[in-house]
Amino acid sequence: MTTTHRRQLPKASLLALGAAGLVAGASIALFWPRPSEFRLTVLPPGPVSPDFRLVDFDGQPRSLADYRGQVVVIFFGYTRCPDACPAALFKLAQVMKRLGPASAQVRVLLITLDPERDTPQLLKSYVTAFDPRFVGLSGTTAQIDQAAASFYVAHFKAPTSNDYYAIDHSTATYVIDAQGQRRLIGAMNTSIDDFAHDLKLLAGRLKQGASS
Amino acid sequence: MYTHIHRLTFLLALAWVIPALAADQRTGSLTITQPWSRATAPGAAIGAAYFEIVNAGAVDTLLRIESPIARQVEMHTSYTEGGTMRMRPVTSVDVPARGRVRFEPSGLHVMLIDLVRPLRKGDRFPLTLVFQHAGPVRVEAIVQDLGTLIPPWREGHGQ
Repeated sequence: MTTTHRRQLPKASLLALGAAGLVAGASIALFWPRPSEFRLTVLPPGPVSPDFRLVDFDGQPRSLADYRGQVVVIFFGYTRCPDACPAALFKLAQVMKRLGPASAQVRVLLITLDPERDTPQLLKSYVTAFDPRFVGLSGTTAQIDQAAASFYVAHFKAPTSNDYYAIDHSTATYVIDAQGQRRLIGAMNTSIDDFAHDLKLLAGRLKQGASS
Repeated sequence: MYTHIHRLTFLLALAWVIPALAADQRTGSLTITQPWSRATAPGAAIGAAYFEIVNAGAVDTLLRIESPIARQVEMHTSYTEGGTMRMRPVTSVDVPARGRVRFEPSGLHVMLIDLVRPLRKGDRFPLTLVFQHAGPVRVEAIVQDLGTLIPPWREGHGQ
């Protein structure tokens, strides 16, 4: 009795195991997170959509929607920033060079966190020194705060002496796709290669979308 | 006459060689190595400068830095906290005995506030480091490319 039972049990359990294996395999195939094709950190869409209502350095009102159809790269900084901002912009200038013709689909924006001291003229001479295609945006303190909040960018005024202040700020670089969705986030140590790789991917999709 | 000419050629040669060697400055037990700065965009009010202090002797303190390149010169330190780059003034910097202190991007740096002229790649300008014991030490900073984070001589040595 026990022996037959023993003989049948393995059969049943093998079947059950096989079925379980199939289910497990199928669910792994379906739900296992696919490795990202991107090298930068991929951002899930947040509850707040990135947006801004600012003015460019030529006095033109600008919102994120104006750049729909282009891959937009945004860095928040200020011209009196000692090293993080020039390093980030210099890197993005090299990324643009690396992109070659694909750079036509990419727009790099610097949003100043220091609208009081960064005049449009200063902003223009500053950002275009890195790449003549770069655009600097400014606005009222309230507009800047709103723009920064929609990107979850933290920024604080930090007085360093009687007549000088620095601005503590997030040093992330944000990549917005052609549909205005926040897609990727780069860091200070993200390489030129990785930026160029991901921007090329997004810009390539743009071309395919346009031709179909 | 002959020695005069020799002396002259020697001085001329010295005048030629000194700027090329200006990178390191030794005073007593302190050596200030390869001070550098970064080119600035036209109109930019701020520059930064970096160097390393190597101390072969007893403890000393860097009290302040002077330079004719800016209307105000301060020592600041940057640090990252939760993804936010913060910057705070530093009133003095201790240089430990037989130790070293490095001024570098994203760390301690000289803040050149209200530059009297834009910094262009290849330019040189003086910095005077005033130490409590060693007194003033004058060095020349060499301006590197816009956006430089690691000077060429340190590339490949990590950060």
